[in-house]
Order: sequence, then structure tokens, then C-alpha cells
Amino acid sequence: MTDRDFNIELAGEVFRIKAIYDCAFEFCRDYLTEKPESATITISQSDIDFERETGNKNDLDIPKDYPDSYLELLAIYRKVATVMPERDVLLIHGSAFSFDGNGILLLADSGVGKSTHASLWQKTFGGRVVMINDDKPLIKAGKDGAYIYGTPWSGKNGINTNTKAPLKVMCEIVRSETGRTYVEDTDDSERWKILTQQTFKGASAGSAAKTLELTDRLLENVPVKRVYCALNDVSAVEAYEGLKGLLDQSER
Amino acid sequence: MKLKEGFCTQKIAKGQVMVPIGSADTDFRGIVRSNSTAAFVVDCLKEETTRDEILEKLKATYDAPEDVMAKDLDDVLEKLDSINAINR
Repeated sequence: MTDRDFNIELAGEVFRIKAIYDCAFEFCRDYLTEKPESATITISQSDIDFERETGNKNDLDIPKDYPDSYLELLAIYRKVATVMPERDVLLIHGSAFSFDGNGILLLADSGVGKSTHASLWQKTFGGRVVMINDDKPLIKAGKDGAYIYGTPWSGKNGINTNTKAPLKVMCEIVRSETGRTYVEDTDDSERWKILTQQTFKGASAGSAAKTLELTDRLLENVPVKRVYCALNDVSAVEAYEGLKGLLDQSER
Repeated sequence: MKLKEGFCTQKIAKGQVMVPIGSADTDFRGIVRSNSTAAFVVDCLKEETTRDEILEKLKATYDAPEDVMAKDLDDVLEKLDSINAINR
């Protein structure tokens, strides 16, 4: 193992990373492993150039002087996420945490308040909450249930833990206009829309088809709720009241 | 007419879903969920075909009045056109 050639374990899958820059090693430090890899991710300059072009095309406003070493991190995760569906694993945009060992995933477009709501759970419930990944967790969608996993790629605040939790509920976060936080059911059509909007589908038809198959499996096993969040001191308690029937109380 | 390249379909427990992938020539970034009739039409469109050919296949497969099937077919084609999913 060197600073540019090392193995990491993500969602139970081991990847050998062959990087150009040293900072990938430090970025992945909590996920390093000596286990043998099942696939190798090799980064080239063209992968980094692709990230710069893609980011600008998608209005991510990546500055022209963004260092290649940072874009390399994006390129690594894109390659990991592309091969994950064939391992029954999805990359999803959301904020994930565990509460008494129960995995909870908050879904919404950027800026709605996923991270703020997750931080309110932490503030309210203290050590009963463990942040898993605040931006791009991985979900292993098994036939009998799903697990949500931490990864180093966790948004601008870098909030993540190398852990996993059984995923008990996925919540679309919507801003509440009433000053209180409450939970509603979703219908089948809404659930598909919510998940599809936030799931990385890859660039190939094969990867996208497998992602849709896994999404179908995930929706069979994990409920999706809509949480109207007021983002105040009582919103975590109010959300918990609406979700507690879905959470396993025995792991406290 | 034919379904454009870059649209990915997948059978699911309750029908079929279709999404555009990176190469798709469309601004649509959502998901199309299809019941069995709509999925049948989408599958027909994976090969070059015509409206009348699809209608004939529907008549050979489903036991329903022709005018109902024709309306269902036109509704599906209109929806697919609205997301720029068909080459005509």
C-alpha cells in the first residue's frame, strides 16, 4: 500500500485505488483496508478533465482553478458508483444517520434542509444519533432489506462515519409552512419520483437498468415518508413522533 | 417511428419504468412509469414501427374494444412525444 495505490472498503466492497495525487489517500483514511480488492479504480488525467467539464455543464460552477487533486476525488467516486449497481449497491444523494441503530435517510434537492434537519436530530437526541453520511451515502439493496453505509464523499462539511445501519425509512424533506413538523405517507408514483431524482444512474443503459431494478427492490423493502420540516428546536421530536412506528426500539 | 437512443427501460414489480441516461437527446430528467399497455407500446417502439402496426399488435394481444386501445395508444405516444422520446 502506498499513498497513490491503496485499498478501501465501501459498502462491504473492496476497491484498489490507483490515484495520481496523494490527497485521495488522506481523504479515504477511515476506509482503508488490507483486504483483497474485487475491482481496481485507476484514475487518468482524462477522468479529471471529464469532471471539470461535467461540473461546468451541470452548473455546479466548478472554478477553472479547482485543483486536479480535488477533481480526482470526484472521478474516483464516479467510477466506484458506476460499478456498484452490479454489486447491488446504489449511490444516493441524501443525508443519512442512525437513531438507536435504525438507519434514516433524508432526501431532497440541495438547499431544502436535509443537513439542517439531521443536525437537529443530533442536537436533540445526542449520542442516540450517529451521522453516517451527510451527502452521498451508499445503500446495499438486499432481497430482504437494505443497509446504508458511510463513505468519505459526504459533502462540503465532510460529515461521515465508517459504519452501516439497517435502513428503516427514507424521508423526502419538504419545508413546512405551518411552523410545525409532521409526517405524511407517499404514493407509489411519488416514491419512484423521489428516489429517481436522487439516485446516481450511471452513463450506460446497463448501469441505469440495474439501478432501476435495485430501486424497485428498495421500494419493496423500505417505506418512503414525506416529512414537512419546520427546522426549529422541536422539529426532530415532532419528526420522531411521526416515524417511531417504523423504527426498531429494541436496539436502544 | 422508434424510441430514441438513450432511454433505458426496466421491468419492475408493478409495470415498467423508463428514464433518460446521459446520452439521451432530451431535457426530460424524470421518470416515466408505465402500466402493462404503455409498457407494451414502449417495447414495440424499440424497433422501427408505425402507429397502425402497434395498434394491430395491441389488438392481437389484448381483449378490449379497438377504440379504447387506439385512445390508450395515442395517449402513450403523446406522452412520449412530450418528452422527446420518439424519432419520427
